[in-house]
Amino acid sequence: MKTSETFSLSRFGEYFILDLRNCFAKVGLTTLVCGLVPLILLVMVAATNFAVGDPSVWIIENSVKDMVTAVTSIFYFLLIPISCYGLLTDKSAGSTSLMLPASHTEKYASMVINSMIILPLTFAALYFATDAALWAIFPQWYDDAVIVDIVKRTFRNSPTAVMTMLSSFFMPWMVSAVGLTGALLFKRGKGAKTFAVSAVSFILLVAVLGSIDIPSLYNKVNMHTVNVIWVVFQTVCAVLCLTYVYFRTKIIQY
Amino acid sequence: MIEINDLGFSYGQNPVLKNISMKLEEGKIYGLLGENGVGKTTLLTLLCGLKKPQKGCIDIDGYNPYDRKPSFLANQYYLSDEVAAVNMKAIDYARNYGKFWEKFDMGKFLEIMKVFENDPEQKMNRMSCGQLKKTWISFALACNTRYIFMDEPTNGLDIPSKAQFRKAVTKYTSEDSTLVISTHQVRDLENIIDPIIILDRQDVLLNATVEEISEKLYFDYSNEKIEGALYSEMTPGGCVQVLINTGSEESKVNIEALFNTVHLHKELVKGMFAK
Amino acid sequence: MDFNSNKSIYLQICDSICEKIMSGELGPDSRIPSVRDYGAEIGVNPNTVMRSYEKLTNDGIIYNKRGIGYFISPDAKDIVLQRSRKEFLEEEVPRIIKKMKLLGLVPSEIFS
Repeated sequence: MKTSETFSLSRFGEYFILDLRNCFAKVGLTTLVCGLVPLILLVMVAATNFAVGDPSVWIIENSVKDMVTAVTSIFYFLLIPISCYGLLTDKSAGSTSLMLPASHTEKYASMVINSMIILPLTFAALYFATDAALWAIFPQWYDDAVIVDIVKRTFRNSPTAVMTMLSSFFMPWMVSAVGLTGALLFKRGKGAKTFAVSAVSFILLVAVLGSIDIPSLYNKVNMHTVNVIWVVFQTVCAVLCLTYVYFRTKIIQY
Repeated sequence: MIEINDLGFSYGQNPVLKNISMKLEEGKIYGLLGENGVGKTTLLTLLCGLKKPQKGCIDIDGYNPYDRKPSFLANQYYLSDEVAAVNMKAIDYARNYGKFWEKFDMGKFLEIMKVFENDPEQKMNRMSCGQLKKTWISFALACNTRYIFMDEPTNGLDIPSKAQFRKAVTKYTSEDSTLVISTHQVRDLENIIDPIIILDRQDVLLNATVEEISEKLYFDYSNEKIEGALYSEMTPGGCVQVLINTGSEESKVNIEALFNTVHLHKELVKGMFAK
Repeated sequence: MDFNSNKSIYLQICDSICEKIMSGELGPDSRIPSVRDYGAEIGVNPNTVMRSYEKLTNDGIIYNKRGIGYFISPDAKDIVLQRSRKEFLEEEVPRIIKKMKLLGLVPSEIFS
């Protein structure tokens, strides 16, 4: 039976494993370091406090941890696709990759799965595990483990809690999708440009929203709907980004 | 078989290929000659699917290269002029990537690396430019594909390596493989290329076998000056003059002299070899 | 193989094989490498070697056993000897004579 030109499971498997290995070779260390940020945070805070204040009094509050988690996550999700797949715009490396006998669908699926699912999940698992381990070892210095905090907030007895939870951050899949888009859109300075464009877009969005008269709107529309719209909007952005990436990689020329 | 019909390609406002048509037959080792910037790389990248023809079309065994279908990709190997280094041992690279080409032969890869006196256990990003190039050449030949496109493979090779290259190509190319090797240093490919294609700005000046060339052109190596020579040149060994072959005598085709003759008498040569 | 001569490459290959026949290196009915193998050995395109083998076959110096390979004809040595003699007498001797005249040498100075 002739192998399909669009998708062959065995060929995809081979390609996927190779791609995954290459990704880990490139960003394995970065993933490890980012996953250990809770430890780095603890060390930094502890060092400061031991030098300055009374070690028996300080504590790392949830709000601080939330911010650190958010910043690290955005940094990771945005820049990892660029580190792994930025080379596709380079003539030499990109040609080699394009000429590898696998279908475009297989290569695209592998790229998306690796940069948007596997690597982020690895980072998240490492991060939460490190954080939980530290919370278990040094409960006196922490409020809650991040993951405990998230679970608490999500399953608070409120029907809108999930949406509130989701919309309080950027959607991980949107950030990854934006990262992947930046990897393929820009030729040089991808990281900086992607971050800059994203930041500017977000600021513009906030400015636009800020000009809408919220108080009068608040009576007509409740927060839950707003949250839902925000989540849907981000998902739509992600889908648009991924569509761009699909066609960009399909028609790319070297 | 490769069929190129009325192919056109420009970089912005700058046309590089125009109305290029030719047929490349199976099982041959084609030499694609031409000066720098004439479109050799462009042609090769169009043939392997890295670029899309802006005009005309290319048909390789019924495939359109730009579709980049996996079964088409598995039947070819494109060796770029610019070699990329990989952070892997050569042998590991071969093991991990060779499996995408059905007929890849690991033993052959190691044999060719040996001919090149290259250590497969060495990391590719630690190799010199020449060693890296030789590794890629070994891999390309070991894939045993129906089509192998090589862009300036001898660039960056020292003289002994060029000889090793000629040996590797003649020994390790299978009968049903078609090679297209481009170069602007014609002497590097002496004796191994047949047929010869000479590309000029937006034009195919020549596409003929060595036998056809020696039937139509005579290369004289005596030191007597001959009237009506199309081209003459002083070489260290003496003089070489190129004339229209009126008799049935055959002579050794000097590729450099041929190249220069063709460029001096473009229309004449085109007419002589028109099919 | 040294391709410095100005003769067509395929003819130089023929000459090389004929030399080996003359020297006895290639005896009657001994096998010579296939077109591809020989091309690989000396770094020459198989088309060229094919032409050489075709010429040698036409001249009766080698013969082809389908599916097995090329072999030296039993009377190859005689054929090559005759051809070489003819070539010597028709081409080299006149050249030598011309040169001798140019240098003012007489046969007795060369052949004792």
